Amino acid sequence: MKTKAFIRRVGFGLKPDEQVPTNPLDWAKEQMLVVPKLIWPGRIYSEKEMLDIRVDFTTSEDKLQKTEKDPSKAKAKKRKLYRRTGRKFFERYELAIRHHQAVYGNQPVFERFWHFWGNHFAIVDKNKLPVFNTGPMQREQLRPLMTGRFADMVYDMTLTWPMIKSLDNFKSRGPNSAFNVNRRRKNKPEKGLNENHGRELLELHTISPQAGYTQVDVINAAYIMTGWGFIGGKKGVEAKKIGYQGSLHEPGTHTVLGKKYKTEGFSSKTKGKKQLRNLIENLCESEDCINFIAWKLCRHFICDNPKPEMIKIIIDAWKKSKGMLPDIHKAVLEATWKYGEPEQKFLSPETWLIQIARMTGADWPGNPKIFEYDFESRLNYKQKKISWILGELGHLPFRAKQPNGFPDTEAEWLSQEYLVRRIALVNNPTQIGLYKNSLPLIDISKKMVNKNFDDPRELLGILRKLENKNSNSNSLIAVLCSRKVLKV
Amino acid sequence: MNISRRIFLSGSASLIVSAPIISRAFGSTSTKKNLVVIMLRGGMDGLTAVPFIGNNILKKARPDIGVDKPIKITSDFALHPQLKKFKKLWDKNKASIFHATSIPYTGRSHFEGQYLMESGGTVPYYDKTGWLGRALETANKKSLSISLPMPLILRGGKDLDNFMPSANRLPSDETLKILAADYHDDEALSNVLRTIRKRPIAMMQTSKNSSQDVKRLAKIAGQQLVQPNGPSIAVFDIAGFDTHADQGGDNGEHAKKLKQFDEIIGTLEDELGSAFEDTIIVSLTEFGRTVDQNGGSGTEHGYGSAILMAGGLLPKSKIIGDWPGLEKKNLFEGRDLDSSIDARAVYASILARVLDRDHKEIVKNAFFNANLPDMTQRIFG
Repeated sequence: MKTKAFIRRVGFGLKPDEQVPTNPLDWAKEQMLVVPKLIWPGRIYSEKEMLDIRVDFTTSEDKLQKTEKDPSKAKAKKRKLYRRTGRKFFERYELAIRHHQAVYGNQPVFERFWHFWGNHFAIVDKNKLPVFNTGPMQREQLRPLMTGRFADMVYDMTLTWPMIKSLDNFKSRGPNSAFNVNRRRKNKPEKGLNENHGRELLELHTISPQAGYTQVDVINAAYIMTGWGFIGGKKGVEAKKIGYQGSLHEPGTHTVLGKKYKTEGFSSKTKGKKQLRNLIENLCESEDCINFIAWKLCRHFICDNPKPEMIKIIIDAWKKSKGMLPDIHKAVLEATWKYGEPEQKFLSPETWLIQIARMTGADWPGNPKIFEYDFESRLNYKQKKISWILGELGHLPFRAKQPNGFPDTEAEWLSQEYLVRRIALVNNPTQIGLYKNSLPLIDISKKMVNKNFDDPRELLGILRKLENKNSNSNSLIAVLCSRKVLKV
Repeated sequence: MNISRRIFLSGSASLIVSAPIISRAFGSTSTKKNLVVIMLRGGMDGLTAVPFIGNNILKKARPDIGVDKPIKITSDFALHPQLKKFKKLWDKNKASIFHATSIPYTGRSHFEGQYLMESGGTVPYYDKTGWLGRALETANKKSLSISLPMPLILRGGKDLDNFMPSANRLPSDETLKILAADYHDDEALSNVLRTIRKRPIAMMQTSKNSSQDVKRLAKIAGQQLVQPNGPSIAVFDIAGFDTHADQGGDNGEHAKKLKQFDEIIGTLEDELGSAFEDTIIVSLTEFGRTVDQNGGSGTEHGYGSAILMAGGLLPKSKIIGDWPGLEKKNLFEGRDLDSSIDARAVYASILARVLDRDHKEIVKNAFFNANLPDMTQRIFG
């Protein structure tokens, strides 16, 4: 690929004052070796703190609903509770941290891969997970995993709090587990298996349906997962810890895709615990998994219908490194560098938004100071607009509707209504932090084009025609919504 | 609702010129027939929407999530209590149910299933167009999807648009012309922008109200469908039927979603007025759910479900299909309601009726000449 196109394809383009790297492939590859620190200057809440806040919220809200029957008093108390627990604040705060990192950080390529994996392990929009948990989990658990093994990433992501919550595994119990044997003895109805997480572990996170597994394989994967869920909860209060309870595990040997998983261990508490680790190790080293993930990475970075020769570069690196992510990532970059042109990718709304902010030097998502919150007042416009704009564009990254996450192809992202929203956003440039009273917008557009395009002549030609027409925001639309910026 | 114009009138002169002008003098307005497809993602449970009450099997299989107050409509079947508007239409002979049906897919994956319910094919992720789009390719009718993406089901068709209310305003058409010139050698972008520039003024309005309440969306669709020159096809997309946990019974998660479906139907009936007589609304889902409840008071991915139909094009209310029964031996793989008819046969017959086309032609164009029996008599007879 040409240098600047490559930088836009695998990163977010160049900032107005950023040096053009002399060796873009090395520049990109080096970014994958170390997990960049978050540059957000404000407070970073730990995942545990956020779980505490979540449980405080859910418990208090529950109590409020049960105790306060006067509607107007209930409304006022609810508002206070929402503000005290940041019910409307935290998702926006997390989005601001994410975008600040992508727009101003020095490892934008790493951030692109982070966004990719966050979407690969998408947490659906339910149970207030996007409000309190999904962002913190991605930042605290997913990021550090990106320099390790893929299998470790899958294992740890499988056992994150939001994943267990959203895919219901905490409600899954082996039909012949000690728990259910006991219930039957007491003549209580069985509380059995929940297949949801077992199926998605196979379908979405590792091998995909291409592997040809059957319903029996799905049930056995779900058996293997029984026992993993929340531990140490009290009645009426959400538990904060993920752990293993042997009493819920389905005993015996379970077979998935011909491989047998025996019950190891002696203690009744931990018996069967290792099955999940063994299953994930086997899934992750299978050809089906390697092919699927390599294909998905190519589809994200190279083109909507990746060709075998592109995918092969990643498969080879995967096998050689035994699934080490830095090697896999570097192979993705090499394949993109080699095959990225003449292929094109239509950028997702969030990537496009970050890209135009970074390339124009826009004040996006705004000065971190504006996100300082007192947990008492109503959120102001500047605090709210990041989620409002991403919602308008149809891409709130923590709010996937289904566990397969957001799509990745032009057919899915190019529609009348999606395009209307991108054009209408740039038509109001102050929303993305481009102010008319700073540099004339046409100068910003020109600077951005010169900096970020290997051959800027076509776009500069369009701008030249607009120069005399006193059409400041037109110049931004003409460039930021041009084919060459929408599609890299 | 706080409405302002999304476009400056001064900039819209070329919009008016480029809009298709169909004179009322042609007199084609009275026969415009409408089809509304409501996609229910996640696996709509046909046994919750239209429970079988002919014996106790379902009740026993679902002790915690049964429908306690079903609305009895025949000796064997009832409606979920949230399907109130649907029940009213049933009483007026304007609603029918095709039960125990599914697209020909038994893999129980949402994403494969959803792809196939829209593509109309049998190989997931293979066909790049949708059955509705292909059927419309030569039909000379406009379609409108009430969604942000252009759903696969409509791809391949001509004159497609999609819409959701939004607050930001488009620039003048002069500005859009700059983009049109820039997009000229990109077919996909050009087509999309061309439709945007031709949009009726009503769809150019902005709204500060960001609510995506289904009633509001259905109202917008109804207002467009009722226009003589407006779209004849509308598509809705509701997600959230995948209730592996806490599915609920009369109330709860699945009930909430059925209520949304019901509200779309009710709102469309109100908005369409007399045009409702020339309309048919159908549901579409990727699969049904297991007969037994699972460990989390939910249900798992299954097979057979139901197609709910409403509208004046139906001659009378009835339950259609060949009921396979809920006894263990009659279940698909011992766990799911079986499908006794390929759901695509139902959609093909509805398409033939709405588009005034021969059934065989529809099956050829939209469903790859699959072996689909003609259901016209059973639905419309």
